[in-house]
Amino acid sequence: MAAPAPFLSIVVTGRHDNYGGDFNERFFTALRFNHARLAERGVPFEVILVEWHPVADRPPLCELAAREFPELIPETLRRVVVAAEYHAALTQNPRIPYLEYAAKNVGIRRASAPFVLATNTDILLGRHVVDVIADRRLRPGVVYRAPRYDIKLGADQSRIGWDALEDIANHIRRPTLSPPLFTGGSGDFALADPETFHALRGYNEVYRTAKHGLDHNFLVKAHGAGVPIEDIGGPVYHINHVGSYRISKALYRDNPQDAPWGDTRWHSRHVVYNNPDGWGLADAPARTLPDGTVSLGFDWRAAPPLVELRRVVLPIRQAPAAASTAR
Amino acid sequence: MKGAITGFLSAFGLAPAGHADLLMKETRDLAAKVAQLEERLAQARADADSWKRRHGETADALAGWKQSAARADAETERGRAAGDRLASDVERAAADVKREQARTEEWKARAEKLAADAQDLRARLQGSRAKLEDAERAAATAHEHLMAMEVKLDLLEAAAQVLDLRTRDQAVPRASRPKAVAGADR
Repeated sequence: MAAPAPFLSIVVTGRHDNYGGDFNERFFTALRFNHARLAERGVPFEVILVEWHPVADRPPLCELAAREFPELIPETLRRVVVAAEYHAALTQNPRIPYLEYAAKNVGIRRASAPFVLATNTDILLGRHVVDVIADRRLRPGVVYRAPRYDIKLGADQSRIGWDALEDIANHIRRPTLSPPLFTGGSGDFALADPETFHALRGYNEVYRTAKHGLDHNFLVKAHGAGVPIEDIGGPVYHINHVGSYRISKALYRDNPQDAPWGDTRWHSRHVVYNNPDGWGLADAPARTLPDGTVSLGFDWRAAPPLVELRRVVLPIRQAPAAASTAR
Repeated sequence: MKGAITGFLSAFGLAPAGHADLLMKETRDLAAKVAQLEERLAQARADADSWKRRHGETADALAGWKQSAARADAETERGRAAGDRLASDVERAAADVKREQARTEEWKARAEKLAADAQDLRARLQGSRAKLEDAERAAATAHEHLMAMEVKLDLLEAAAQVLDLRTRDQAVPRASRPKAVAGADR
């Protein structure tokens, strides 16, 4: 019997680089947790794991995930491995080893559910978020945001549950989001229908010299295009780890241009983008491997130009036209 | 005969009975008249007393009226004096009013001129404000375009660096360069 069509596509991205010290464990913990919470509420969903710039001498993360969750492949856990050449072709800043938002665009472009959540591998969905999804209270044409509560480092992840996550003693920070953009950790939670993501053409693929601020930049573009942005009403949770931007940013205070997330001072709050038609490597040749993994092979025709200045635009004035003509 | 008898008897102080009755009746009538007159006299006396009293009262009232009239005269005199003073006050006030009217006209003219000046200033202020808003919009637009230009310059610089690295990659054998470390912070 075929599995029901997913109601939610969860797009995450990562690779086998041990980012943050225990990357795989955090990813698997979050995937296990989110799968259990959504399944117990009867929400059909798919997770699209996009492995960008895979590490050459290590087994791909997609393979490890398939081994860890054999019951979820191939339909619930969809895996896309992007040829490493795309990173080399797209990079505008050699200090950034991972183009997180270009990778997310790959997943968003290939999502099949009526709603798409672009998030990170170590994000645990909150109770209210799952309620809203399970109760089908999402509306198309809206970008939903959720605040991210950081959980203390070293919190026991083996038996993690909502009670522990909701215990304020375990919280390091409990931000509140403010209109109109509801920014703050927006790379951890941006949920919308695929048409809205397509109208906005995903995250910024034009400005790739920094990855910091691209999530905020997406909201600036959405707001400029007249897409309403709303707080979904409850938090998601993130277990702090070494190497995260919040913890490591002080290391690059005096030399921000050397940071692995790029220079944070770029005008991400004012200048937006108009991605090319092939955003999200839409034209990359895809091949399905025997284990169900989709491999995107390299083709220069699928890669955007190194620079395309006309795609750097200002919000609002260009946004209505872009929103109506995009796709 | 009868007259003779009567004359005879009257010489002795006698009179016939009818005559005596008549006299008696006349006497009674006279007595009644006397009583009536006495009564009228008493009435007249009472009336006289009444008139005397009224006269007294009238005299008193007259004296009171005279006093009142004197007081009224004095009051009238005082009123006249006050009226005169009032009239002079009114005259002065009229002069003041006239003077103030002239001043009012003058101030009105000044106020109208000031109002016209204020209107002119307001119009100029609105014009200035509109120009300021235009200038602010222009400045904001210029600032946005400047930011867009900076982003484009960032991209050009980044592209130049990337192309430079690619050129170096082509020019220098890979073996002579240090290997990139996997697992670095993203």
